Amino acid sequence: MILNWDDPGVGATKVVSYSMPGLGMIRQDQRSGIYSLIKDVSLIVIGLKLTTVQNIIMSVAQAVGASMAIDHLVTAQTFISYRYVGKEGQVWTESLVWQTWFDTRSREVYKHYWGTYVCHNNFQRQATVDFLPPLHSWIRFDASPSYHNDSLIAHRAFDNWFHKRAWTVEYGY
Amino acid sequence: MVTSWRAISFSLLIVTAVVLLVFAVRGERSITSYYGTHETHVEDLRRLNTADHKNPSGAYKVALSVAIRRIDPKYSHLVFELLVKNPEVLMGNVRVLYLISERAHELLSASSLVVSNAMAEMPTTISPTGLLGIGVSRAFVLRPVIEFTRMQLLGVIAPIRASVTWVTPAGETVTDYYVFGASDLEMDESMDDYFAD
Repeated sequence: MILNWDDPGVGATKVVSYSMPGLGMIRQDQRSGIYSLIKDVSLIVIGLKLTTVQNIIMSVAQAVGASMAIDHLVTAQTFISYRYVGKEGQVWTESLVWQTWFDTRSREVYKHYWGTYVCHNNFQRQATVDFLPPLHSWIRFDASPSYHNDSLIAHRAFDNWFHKRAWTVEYGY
Repeated sequence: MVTSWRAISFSLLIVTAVVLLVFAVRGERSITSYYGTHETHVEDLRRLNTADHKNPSGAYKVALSVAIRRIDPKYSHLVFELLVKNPEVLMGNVRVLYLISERAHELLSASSLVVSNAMAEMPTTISPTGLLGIGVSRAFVLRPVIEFTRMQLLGVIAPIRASVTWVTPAGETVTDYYVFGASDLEMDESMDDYFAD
């Protein structure tokens, strides 16, 4: 008999976290025109959240560190992007390996500003500025129902394994 | 009674029409993934990691700079800018793409580490007499709770692989590939202030 000292006992459970990037940035809105004419125009960020062309161009100029030549053509765009985070409920099975029987997947939504303008030395500057909310760098968290409850995730995994049900995945988006 | 129902129905019709009109006027609000709509950029990304990094054409100069801009006592932006400058000829439709080392995820809170001007809908042309250059930047969020030294920062952000694609006056499309090691990066003076703190 081979003793496996890592063997926690058949039916033991654990929760493992993982993350994966989304496929890129998704444009939400855009405006182009002479800065002084469009600076107060609103752009959609996400849902009912709005910003202005001025906010975007100023964020870009601050990030780049180069001042803008007034009354040139500017373009301002808003983007969002996703990062997926999840937790797997795993069960130590008769095969003496950890197997995933439940997966709960959530999504972080990030906001980005992008803008382009001409600076004083006649260079075109453009930048993507990642947003800085007060607490997290994402602006919305689409949480799956069990995401914040590790004991429930472990229980769902054990339940699926014990009743020989299929591995299930739940989504928060 | 019938008249009031007609009035309510008419009001609802007007409100619906106004809402539809507002969305129609907003016009170009298209929800498109820029990687989805710029498949050539996906191909460019693949090439960045596999291309034989040929010598650049020599028709212009490039510089890649790094800066740290403190936003508030807790948060800062790490800003990269790739500058294409001093064009000796007219360079049409300049497209810039670069990829920060994957290890930078240790210090940055970001969904991806790609920097590009693919989202610009109007092509950028630079020349010795017109626009003199183009700078393509991205300001990433530095993770607030992590302390690191300048050497640790350079160790995770490099190498940075980049491509500059442009059209010559003869109409030929040229792509130059670059690999920037830590010693090739230009440090903004804001880095000195940040690490002095």
